[in-house]
Amino acid sequence: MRKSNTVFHLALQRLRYHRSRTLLTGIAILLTTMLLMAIGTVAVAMLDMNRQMAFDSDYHAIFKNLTPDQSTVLSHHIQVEALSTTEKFADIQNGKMNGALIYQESVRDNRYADREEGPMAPQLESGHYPEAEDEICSSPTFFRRIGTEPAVGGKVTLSFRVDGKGEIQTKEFTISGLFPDMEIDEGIDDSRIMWSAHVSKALLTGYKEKGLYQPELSVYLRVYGEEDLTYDEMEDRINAVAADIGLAQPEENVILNKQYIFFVTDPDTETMMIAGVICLIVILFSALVIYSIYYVGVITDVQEIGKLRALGASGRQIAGMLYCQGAIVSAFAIPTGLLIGFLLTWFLFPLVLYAYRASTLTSIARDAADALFGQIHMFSLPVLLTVAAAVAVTVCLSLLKPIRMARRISPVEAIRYQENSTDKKTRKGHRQVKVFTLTFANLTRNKRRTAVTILTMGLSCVLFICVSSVLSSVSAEDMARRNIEKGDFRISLKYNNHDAEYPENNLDSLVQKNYFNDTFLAQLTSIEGVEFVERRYGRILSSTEIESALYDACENRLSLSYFTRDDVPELNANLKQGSIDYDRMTANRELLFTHEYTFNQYGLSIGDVFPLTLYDGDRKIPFTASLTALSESESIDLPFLIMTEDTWNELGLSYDPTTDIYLYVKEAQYDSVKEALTEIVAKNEYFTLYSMDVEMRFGRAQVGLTIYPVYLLLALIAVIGFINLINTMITSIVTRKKELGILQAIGLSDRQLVRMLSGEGLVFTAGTLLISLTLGNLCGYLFFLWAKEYQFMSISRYHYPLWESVGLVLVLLGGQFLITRLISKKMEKENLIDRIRDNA
Amino acid sequence: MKKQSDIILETQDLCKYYGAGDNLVKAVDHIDLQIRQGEFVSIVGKSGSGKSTLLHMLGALDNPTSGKVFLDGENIASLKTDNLSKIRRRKIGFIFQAYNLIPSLNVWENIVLPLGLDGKPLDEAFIEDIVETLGLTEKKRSLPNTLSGGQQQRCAIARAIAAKPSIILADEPTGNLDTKTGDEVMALLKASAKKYGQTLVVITHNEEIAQMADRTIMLADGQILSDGKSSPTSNEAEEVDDHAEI
Amino acid sequence: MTKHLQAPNYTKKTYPLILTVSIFFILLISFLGISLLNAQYTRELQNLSNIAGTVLAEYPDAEKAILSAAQDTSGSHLDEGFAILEKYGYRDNLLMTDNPYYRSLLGKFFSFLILVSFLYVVLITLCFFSLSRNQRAQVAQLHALFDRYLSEDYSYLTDQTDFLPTFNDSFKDTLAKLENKLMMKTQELAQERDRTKTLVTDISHQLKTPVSALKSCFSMCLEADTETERDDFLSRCALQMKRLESLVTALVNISRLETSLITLQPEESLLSDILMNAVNTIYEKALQKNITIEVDDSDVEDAASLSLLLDKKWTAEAIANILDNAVKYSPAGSMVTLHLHKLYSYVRIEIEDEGIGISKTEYNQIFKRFYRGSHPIVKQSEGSGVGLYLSRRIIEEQSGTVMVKPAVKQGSVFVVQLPL
Repeated sequence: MRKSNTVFHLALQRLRYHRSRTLLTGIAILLTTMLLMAIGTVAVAMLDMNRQMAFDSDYHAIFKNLTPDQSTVLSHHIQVEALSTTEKFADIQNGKMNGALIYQESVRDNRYADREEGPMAPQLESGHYPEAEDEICSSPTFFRRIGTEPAVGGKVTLSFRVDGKGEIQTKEFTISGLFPDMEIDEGIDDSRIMWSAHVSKALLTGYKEKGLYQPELSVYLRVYGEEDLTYDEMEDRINAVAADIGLAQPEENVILNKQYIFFVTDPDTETMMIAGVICLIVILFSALVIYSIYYVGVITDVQEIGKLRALGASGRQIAGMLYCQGAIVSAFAIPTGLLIGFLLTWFLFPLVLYAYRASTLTSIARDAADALFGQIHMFSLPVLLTVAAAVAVTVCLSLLKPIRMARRISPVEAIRYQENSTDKKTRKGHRQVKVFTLTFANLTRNKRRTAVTILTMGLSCVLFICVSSVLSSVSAEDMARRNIEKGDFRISLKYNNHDAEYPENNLDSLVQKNYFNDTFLAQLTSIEGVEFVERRYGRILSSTEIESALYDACENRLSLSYFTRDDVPELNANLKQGSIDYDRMTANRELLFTHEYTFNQYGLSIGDVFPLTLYDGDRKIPFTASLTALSESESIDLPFLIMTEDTWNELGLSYDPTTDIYLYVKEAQYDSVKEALTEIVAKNEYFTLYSMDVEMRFGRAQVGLTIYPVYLLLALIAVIGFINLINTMITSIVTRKKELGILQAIGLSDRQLVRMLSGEGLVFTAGTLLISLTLGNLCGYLFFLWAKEYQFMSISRYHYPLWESVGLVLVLLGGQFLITRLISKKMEKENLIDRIRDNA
Repeated sequence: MKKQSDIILETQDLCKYYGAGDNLVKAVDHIDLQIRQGEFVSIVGKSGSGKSTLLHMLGALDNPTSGKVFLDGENIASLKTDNLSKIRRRKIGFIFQAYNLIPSLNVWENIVLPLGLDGKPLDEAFIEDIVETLGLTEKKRSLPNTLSGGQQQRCAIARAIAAKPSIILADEPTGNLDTKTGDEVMALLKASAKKYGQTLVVITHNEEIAQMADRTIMLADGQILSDGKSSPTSNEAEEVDDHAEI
Repeated sequence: MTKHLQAPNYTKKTYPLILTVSIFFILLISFLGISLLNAQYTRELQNLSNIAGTVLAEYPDAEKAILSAAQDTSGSHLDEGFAILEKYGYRDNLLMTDNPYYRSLLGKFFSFLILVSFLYVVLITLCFFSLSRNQRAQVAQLHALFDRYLSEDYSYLTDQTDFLPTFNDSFKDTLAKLENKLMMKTQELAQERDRTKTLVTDISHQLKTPVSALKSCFSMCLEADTETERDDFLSRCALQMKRLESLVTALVNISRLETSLITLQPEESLLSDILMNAVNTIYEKALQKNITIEVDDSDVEDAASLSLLLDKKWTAEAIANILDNAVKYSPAGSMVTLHLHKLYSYVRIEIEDEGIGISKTEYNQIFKRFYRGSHPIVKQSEGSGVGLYLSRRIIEEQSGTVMVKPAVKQGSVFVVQLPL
């Protein structure tokens, strides 16, 4: 008892004596804990946020083309937790509006078996779900947009096409219920939002009986085990269920809700591995920070251990004392770090959401953000324990170092211990000693310590650059450019491929009207502020007589376009199969496929030959094409099949096949041009206007919710990393207090001291920058490639994090300058003699 | 002050107190002292007698609680820190018990460090002479931690002498050395100081070492117990005759 | 130590406690297992009743079939049943955790198990802790005891009769014996110390006598009544006069020395020559007192050829003076040794005698002019207090040093350092 008390007491006294070092060590441990905890908490919060956002569609899979029997078996299958049907009954026909009438029914939901309120369906604000044949419910905004006062019991007349085919029907509905209101920015065109309205089963039954509606029986289902299984196991289970009920063509008829499953399941091994590696790297460098702090002060420790050993302390007692010390500091620092790390995230995360809410434009996103306020679950005991354990282990390992060093030598040697510099006994040196010589000698004396310091500082910067590389690559503009490839506006022709009922809407009919003629283009060019108008590569419809799953899937009409010789490099860069040779392809009239997923989905292969018919207005052109290359196009606008420009020209089209026009405008007149264009586009029901500002806002909204928390993470890394960096620098100076004291005793002036320390700081800074700008950028690029591979935020293009890098350089230089000043100021106040005598 | 021509260092009513109340420690308590140019003074006392504190104040390393220290007729306390640095590297050479060499610099660099800090052109012949005198010629490029204690202290002496300071202050210079080496180092220190005409103030608790000095000041409890000339060359030798037993 | 105290044995108490606790927990877990089985059995019954009820509501005829199936343990229709149910996903690889009922049951089981294990670990830890605490208490008590012994306080055991209830009596008896023995030894030591003190006081008292005798000699001479008495006292006074005379001679020497003499002419000279000269000077004197002078140059390899830049004559004189001093105050038949050491920049000559030695307070004085030691032997012997002063001046003039230290046994060591 007495013995352990002495050890504890000794540890406590040593901590008190080396107050500044204790403080610095404590701060290092605290910051590291904080960083790890903050990262962990942000990760948990992001996961939870995604999980909650995915909750709107909390099914695991859709089974399509079920027989009624299969549906019954499915509803009694032991592994099915919940089952509901959603039928898209009809397309709403109301100008350019994009909308559908749907019917939803929950067949079974075991999740709520012991609850009264029943399955979770979107809650109505007033009224009830449609029951009678003419009832309808939707959001008030929907009704307002189609020009009806949203009130339960009100009447509304809607035109719709059952199943998107056949004749347009018009019917008067009674509003039976209203969803909570959602505001949609006036600037957003109807065509850009997917509207939906719920109708009753009675309506569907009526149409079924009349033979006008043949429902595709498809169900949304949940299976048991989302809490226990990994993604792969869930997928296996869903496929097993499909096999049990004998679902035909499961590859096509089973559609997994991948995003939802991804977020709710335990991560699969690969994700686990990647997350593990990232965690390990973060922990590793945090460990290095703590280690370096201890390492820098190791001389003092070794000397004191020598003294204690000379006094007869056993190795165990010394280890006990050091561990006791570590434990005392950790006992304060780790819980505090955990608490601050958590609270920081807890306070900042909602702020981030708030910032996102302020920047977003759709009320859906706003609602999502609102709903998440205070609802996000951030606390995770495993994360907390892991962080605490990781830090504790690091502290232990760092503490071992001086013990091992002291054990290797005799107590007397330990007492006299001077840093074990290199094995060098001599130094070439200089005839004359300048302040810089001192700086340089200090750095080279213990290269390992210098390296550890630089590495420690560098790694937090590497992490920073790494994350910002990905962040800067997540660009709203990239997203916007998917809809407007170039310029500021795009006017698009809205056409059908093969509408039997209304053939005038098909592309081959529309081209005959030649809406995008020279007069129209001239009209556009004449708008004040328009600089330039450009036609997009045209399109032409094709059909084939042979059996083709691809053509079957789209009513035997597929549009074709072309690529120019200039596009070849980009296409070649993303080449997946086959080969691209412009001249050969021209000569043999070969085609290139632009979408890998579709290519595989419809079982296509290189070398397939299609006898096609091309529809040039009222003219039909026979065309035999062979598929010789597969490339992934970054623009979602491109049709699946493209030929060379020369082949296209050889077709000798009699009508202008342009479907899209790009406009470049002067920035100052953007708003007035948009106004004019909106007016022009409104006059033609086939025109859709895409404007850059709206697309950018969509892009931002899309990236925002994920990107803002990552920015928070980046800020945390930056702030904590910077404090850590300061801490490291201060430690490296404080532990050399004695040496600096001696230098001052023999005449180093304060100004020279500042110069010497600045010199050191500059080398540290330079080293740090070198590491972060090389290793950081390399890691950043690799990280980007990984994110691209996993479709994180649809990243496609690497943007160099220029501003972040510049900021890093400035902050490093400024911080280093400031620290040197502050420390030398503080040292001035301290007695020179105390410093020379002080062993710490 | 009334500066006497050959008095290089003088204290007036010098005090240094630590703590307060019951814990008040009078490390240096009203000390008046005059040291002549070229004199070799040893300050002897037990540990805790305030001798180190006195030396630190003489060398402008520490600020007195009250009283003044005049170096070459200049009151040290009235100087700014930058000027103090200059005084320290030009007029004062320090030798510590723990050698306090800069571990990252080799012997030569350690010796020329005060000169480098002062931005003075290097009188290489002079330094070589010192290095030769102190027997460090072969160790010029060695790093301090590869040297023996005696060699390190010789290097420290060389460093103290190199800037040709008018006064060398040594704090237990032989404290970490064995007797023979200690004696030799003291002999060297004395010879070098004499050779370059420097005033030497040595603190020691070893009365054998003190024999070498021209004058020995005994301190106890922060006060001067005796201030006696130990050298036969002393001008006041006649005084001793009175005590001589005949 | 008369009070008899039974030491409670904690070790014996703790193990049954641990055993009891363990058995209790084993029983608890067994109970948990049994209640789980029971829950399972109840559920099976409920399921069967439910199936029977549902089927019989639709097919009343099936009653017999159902009941026979319920009692059929051989599983004759097992395969058919499996085949039907397989379509609904009832397969071997079903996980118990997928079923909400079993899931919650499992959850309860595990939380109970964790709770129980936790309690068990806590209790066992407490048991062991109390055990080790008692051991530590014993060690601490012993520590306290030994600390008091070390500070020479041996009354601990006798003061505190209830000391160490956990130790048995034979141990305490041994301790008591140890205490007595130590106490005795301490008292003996104190007595010894007192005796020495008295002895020293006596000796110094004895020393004072000759001085007072001399004093009385003078006064008696002045007051002498008879001629013979006066003659006697006068002869003693004459002796004092003679000393005074020699002192005056020395004074003359010194004044000459001081004014002109010291003009040293350094030249390359062999150290061995210098030492030889010095020893030769006082050889006669040493011989008279039968004092051996030995030069120990074993530490210096090239002692014979070691050459220094010195004034040969005066350096020899300086060393001779020191040797003279050594011979003068050393008892007959003793030894004076010159140890040579070659240092880096100096030759170190230690001149060690076995004489009367010099007190530390005189270190600063002996090299001063006319200083003569306070030791009675010094006072008795002739001398002017000039020799050492001269030595120091000569040596320091040539960048050497000289100082005195006490010898290891008795006598003094004069250390001379001469630059190489």
